[in-house]
Amino acid sequence: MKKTVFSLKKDVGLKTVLLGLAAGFLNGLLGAGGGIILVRSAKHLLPGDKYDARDIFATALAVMLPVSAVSVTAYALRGEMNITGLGFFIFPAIIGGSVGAILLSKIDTRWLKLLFSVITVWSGISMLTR
Amino acid sequence: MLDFFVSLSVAALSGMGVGSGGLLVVYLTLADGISQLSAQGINLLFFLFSSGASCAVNFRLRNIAWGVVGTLGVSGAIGAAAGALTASVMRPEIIRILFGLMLLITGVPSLVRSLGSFAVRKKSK
Repeated sequence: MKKTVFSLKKDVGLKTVLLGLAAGFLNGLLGAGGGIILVRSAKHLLPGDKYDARDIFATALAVMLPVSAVSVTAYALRGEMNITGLGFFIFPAIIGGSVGAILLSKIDTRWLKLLFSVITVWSGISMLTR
Repeated sequence: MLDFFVSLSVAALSGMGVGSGGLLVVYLTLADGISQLSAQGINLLFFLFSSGASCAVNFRLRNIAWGVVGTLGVSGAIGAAAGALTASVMRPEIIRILFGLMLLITGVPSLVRSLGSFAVRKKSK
């Protein structure tokens, strides 16, 4: 088990706030996408010798959890949260999330990343041309 | 049943750090015919559970940068409230187009990097 280190690059206060605002805004506006902003910008905030890519991913998850909770509350207050049939999504979310996190350190994800990228690009085109 | 397997796959990809990128939103809108905003709401709730489960594992295994989590979390929460408020006054078609653009903006560089990693490995052999 790794020891948690409390450190970040110097003079990143304003950058951190702006980054959080941007990630949160995207999360609230589109219901997704905030995490990727954090992951892509992490090199500007965190010393690379202390945090590897998987640590950065875990940190982004820890940030997006409360941020998503705020977004969920806002969507629910607006009446955009239809809870009928949500069980079909929640149960596999817990199982899949746990299994994925355990596999995070154990498998070569290059092929999965390639497949995921292709699906994402195709999905983007589908959303724009629907 | 398909909903179950799609959710399981998206959550596992998300937990592995490959990404989820709102693919559940795409599935819900294109395959299930759910409105854009409702799909985004379901995706957010889905993320709470899948990332909550991942975090429970990651908190023990990974080196989380707690020094930035608080600041990013608080500013992120303010941004999320502003984003959700903005979404409530925008036309769903505009949000769908923005969502599609977000997928392309994140997907194309990932695809290029991904293909690049295969090319580098082939070259080094």
